[in-house]
Formats: sequence, C-alpha cells, structure tokens
Amino acid sequence: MRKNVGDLVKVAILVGCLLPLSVMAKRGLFPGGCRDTGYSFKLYVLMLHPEAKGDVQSLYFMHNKSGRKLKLSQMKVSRDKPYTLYLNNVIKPNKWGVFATDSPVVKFVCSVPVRGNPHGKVVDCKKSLDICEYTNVKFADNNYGNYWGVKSKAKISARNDIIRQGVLLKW
Amino acid sequence: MKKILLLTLALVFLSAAQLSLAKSSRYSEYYGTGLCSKPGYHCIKVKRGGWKKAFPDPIQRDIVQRVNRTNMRLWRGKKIAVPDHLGTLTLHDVSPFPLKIAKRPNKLIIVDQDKLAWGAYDTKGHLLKWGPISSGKDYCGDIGRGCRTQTGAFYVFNKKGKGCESNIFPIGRGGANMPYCMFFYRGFALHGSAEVPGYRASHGCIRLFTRDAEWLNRSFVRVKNLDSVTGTKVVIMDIKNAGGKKHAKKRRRSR
Repeated sequence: MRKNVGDLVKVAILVGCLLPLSVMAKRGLFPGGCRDTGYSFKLYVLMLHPEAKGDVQSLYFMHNKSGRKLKLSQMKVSRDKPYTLYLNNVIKPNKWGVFATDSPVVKFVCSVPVRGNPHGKVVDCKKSLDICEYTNVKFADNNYGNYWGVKSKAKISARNDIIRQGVLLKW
Repeated sequence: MKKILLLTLALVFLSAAQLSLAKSSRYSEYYGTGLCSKPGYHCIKVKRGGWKKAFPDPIQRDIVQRVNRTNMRLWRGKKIAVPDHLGTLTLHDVSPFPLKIAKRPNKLIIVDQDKLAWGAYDTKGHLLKWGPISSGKDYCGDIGRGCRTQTGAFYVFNKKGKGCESNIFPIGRGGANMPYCMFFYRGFALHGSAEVPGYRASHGCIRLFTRDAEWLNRSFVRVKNLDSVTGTKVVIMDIKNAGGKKHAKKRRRSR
C-alpha cells in the first residue's frame, strides 16, 4: 500500500514537472508577448473571440504545423449574402499568418489541397494550427479593421512586417 | 528574306496572343461588352468620337459610362454596351449591387473588384449610389512587385479635398492627383480620377469618377473617431476572377 502511494507521488511529481515544460515549449514557439488565448475549437472549426479580453481591435499569429498548405476559409452567419467579405487565406507549411480583427467572433474552417477536389479536404484546425493573441496590442488609426496583415511568412518576417505596418506589439 | 518573314509572322502571332489574353482578362459578365448578350442591353460601335458627341444627354452619358466602367476617351469604332430604353432608366436600374441589404451600425462602402464597382449603403441598408472603380493591378513595373489593393474590412480614417496628392507616386517625386481622397488602410485610399479605364490599373488605390469621389467625400463618408469605431466602413472584396496564377505570370512577362 505504502509502495503504491509512493509510486503515485512520483507520477504526480513527474506530471507536475512536465506540464510547465510543455507550456514553456509553446511559449517559445510563439513570438514574444503573444499569448495562448482568445480562441477555441468547436468540432473542426477555429473560433476567434478577441472581445473576451475586452479589446476593440486584436491581433492573432497563426502557425501552420500541418506540414501541408493550409487554407483558412472564413465561415459566415450572414444576413447580407452574397455581399459579405470572406477573409480567406492560405498559409504555407511551417509559416505564419497574422490576422487583425475587430469582430467579436470570427470562425475559420481549415482545409488542405487534395488532387481532383478544388475545395480540398477539411481538416481539424486544432491539429493544424498553433494560435496566439496579442492581448494588449495597439493599432494606429490607419490600420483598424478585419484583414490578413501577413498572409504566409516565417515567424520573424511576419512579426517585423506587422510592426512595419504600424501595429505596436505591447505586453 | 525567309528569316524576316518568319520573324514578322512570329511577332504578329505574339501580339495577337497578348491582345487576346488582355481581352480575356478584362472581360466580365458584369460590365462593358460582357453585357452584350444579356437581356436589357445592346452593344454599339461608336460612330463619332467623344462621349459628348456620342451621348449628348448628360444623364444618359453618365449611365453609359458607368455601365462600361470608364470615363476615358471614347474613340470611333470602340464597342460599348448601352442599356435598352436608356431615356427612362435611372442609376439604380443598372446597379450591380442589391438595392437593399441588412441594417448595420455603420455606413458602408462596398468595393467589388470583380464587378469593378463601389456601392454606398446607409445604416438602414439602402443603396444610395454606386459607380465604377479601378483598383490595384497585378503587377506594377515601376516598383517591381504586385500592387493589388489590400482586401478586408476597414474604416475611413482620413479624408482630404480637391487638392489631395500622392506622397509616393510617381516614384521619387510624388504629386499624383488624388482629388477627394479618403484613406481607409495605411496609404490606400478611394479617390477621384480622370483615368478609370474599365480594368484594374492603379498602384493599389481605388480610383473613382471624380464626381463620385466628391459626393462620397462631402456627403457620405464619416471619418473614424480616435476613441471609437463610428466611421464609414469600407469593405474591399477579394478578386475571384483574376484569371489564375498562370495568366498573372504570363501578363507579368508580357509587360
């Protein structure tokens, strides 16, 4: 009995040590100040909800970890069809896309190209993307809105591009 | 002699191919000669040069210019689309946009790059006015890269009057006229121009008829406040009908 308790304690310590390590690994993956927050996954769909943090305008960095070209297609619950804007984007393997938004909720479906199917195959966004949000970002007056600030670039280039566009990445 | 003949033939073939490519990339079912086969429209070849000579009535001239998405010189022999019953039509009768959309918190300008048109909606969702545009082309030789207009949803954050000028273009000098400019994203603006040619031809800005830009600037657009998002929204739709990557590459090479 005592031995079992000892084993359990050992396992608990091991898990306790490994969990922060995984969090740190994810932090290392993201650009400085970019937090693992402001999004969720429902079924295969990615949902961005930046207003949960109380910000008018927010900025997301998205990393394609799928190893294939990943297409993010915006889902709309729209009353204005067909006059709605679909903010679609293709992120190359291991590259980053940067999305600026002032909408309370933005939904994306992820898909990968498949031969013979122009729409590609829908994949689980959770398994294909690493996402983080700059929760304290400051936008200049000339770059408010919903748009892909960077479509598909390496992490450093994406960060530099977005800074060059006048977005202040504070944390 | 043979060589010269072959060279001439090759040149003729190449120029014909380029012309057909250019035509195909500028063909759209929404405007210009793309409407020739549509009910309610017929196409004519202009007999006398100049808009005023061809269409002396200013209202009718305005409608024909909008339907063909151009305010540039009209030459003899040019084929253009003309709506049937031109004398009884209004601008809304030939609108490429729906006359009513859902209510919204902000006034809205939609810029549709496939239709080469803008539409202005009030907060009740009524289309107030629409007109032709010319947005950013695929490739700009002077800057050596693509110069399509940034797509997305933005807010007008600054506007200037008749004397508005570019700080960048022409490259190295600046000073290009951008009357009644309305900036919506960084250096991208909606502005008036006497050169709206019926295809995408700008460095990224949205060219409008100058009278349209004046109306938008003076009577419609509200600039975004510093502390709130109450300004006029500008939605730049993506290009769906760009002719594919292969065509874009060919077009680049041909320039």
